[in-house]
Amino acid sequence: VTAAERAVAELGRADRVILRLAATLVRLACRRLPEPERTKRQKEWTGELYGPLTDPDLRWWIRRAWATVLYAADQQRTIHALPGTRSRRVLRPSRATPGLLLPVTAFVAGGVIFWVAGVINARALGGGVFGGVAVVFAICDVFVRLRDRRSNRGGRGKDAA
Amino acid sequence: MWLDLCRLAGVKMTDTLERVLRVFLEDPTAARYGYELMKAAKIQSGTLYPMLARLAEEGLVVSAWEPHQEEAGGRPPRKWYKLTGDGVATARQELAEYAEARHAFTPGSTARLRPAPGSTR
Repeated sequence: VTAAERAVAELGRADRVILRLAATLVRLACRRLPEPERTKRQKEWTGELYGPLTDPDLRWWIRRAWATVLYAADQQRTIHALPGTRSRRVLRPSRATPGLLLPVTAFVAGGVIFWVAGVINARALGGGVFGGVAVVFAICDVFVRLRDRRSNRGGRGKDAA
Repeated sequence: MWLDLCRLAGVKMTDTLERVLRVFLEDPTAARYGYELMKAAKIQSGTLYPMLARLAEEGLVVSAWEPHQEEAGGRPPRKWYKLTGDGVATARQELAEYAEARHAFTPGSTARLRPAPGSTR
């Protein structure tokens, strides 16, 4: 039994918290990979997390913890650089984020307007604004769905090519 | 990197790749884990794993899971990497060529080699 293996067996509570955090970062990074690769990579990198956390060359706990988190966080870079992976197409963050952002922004903006309308005590205006927000919400939803459908069609075309 | 003379099969030779190959060549028969390679070559995980994936794709590196150990204290198995026979020969040859090319580019050198297109020098 090596010193590192003994250290693994004697992991403290703080170590386990760091491990959990780092494992979550690895899992989040691996979400961008297609399935067979995802499981393989997640298993490999989660197993390696014990390396920096029990590294006898790193004397201070904070340095070991930092090295562990850094190891996990840097896998985001690995995902984008792995040969043959189309990580951006799997999750499509640039498309998914505005899809959520638009309705949420519309809802928040509508809420602010409704609150202002309530403050100036104009019930009729408040009702109108509420209806307006609902319409904006619906338009945003239709817009996002249409765009997603169009981009999915484009994505498949590119993949096929 | 303006020094673009050596190519390791389909993998571009860089200073970081040079360091990783040197770690492997210290003992070509030894299996190395990811973190061990990172430490020895002084590189980050985001640099190492894409490099290993490319080397594996070229057939220069093989990988395998370590056998399950009861004494590991609940640690999941790790994956080790090792140069193949072809990988050892190619790495030695390319490292020698890379060192030679780098020497040729050092100031005061008499060799006349042109930098890669688009280089800053």
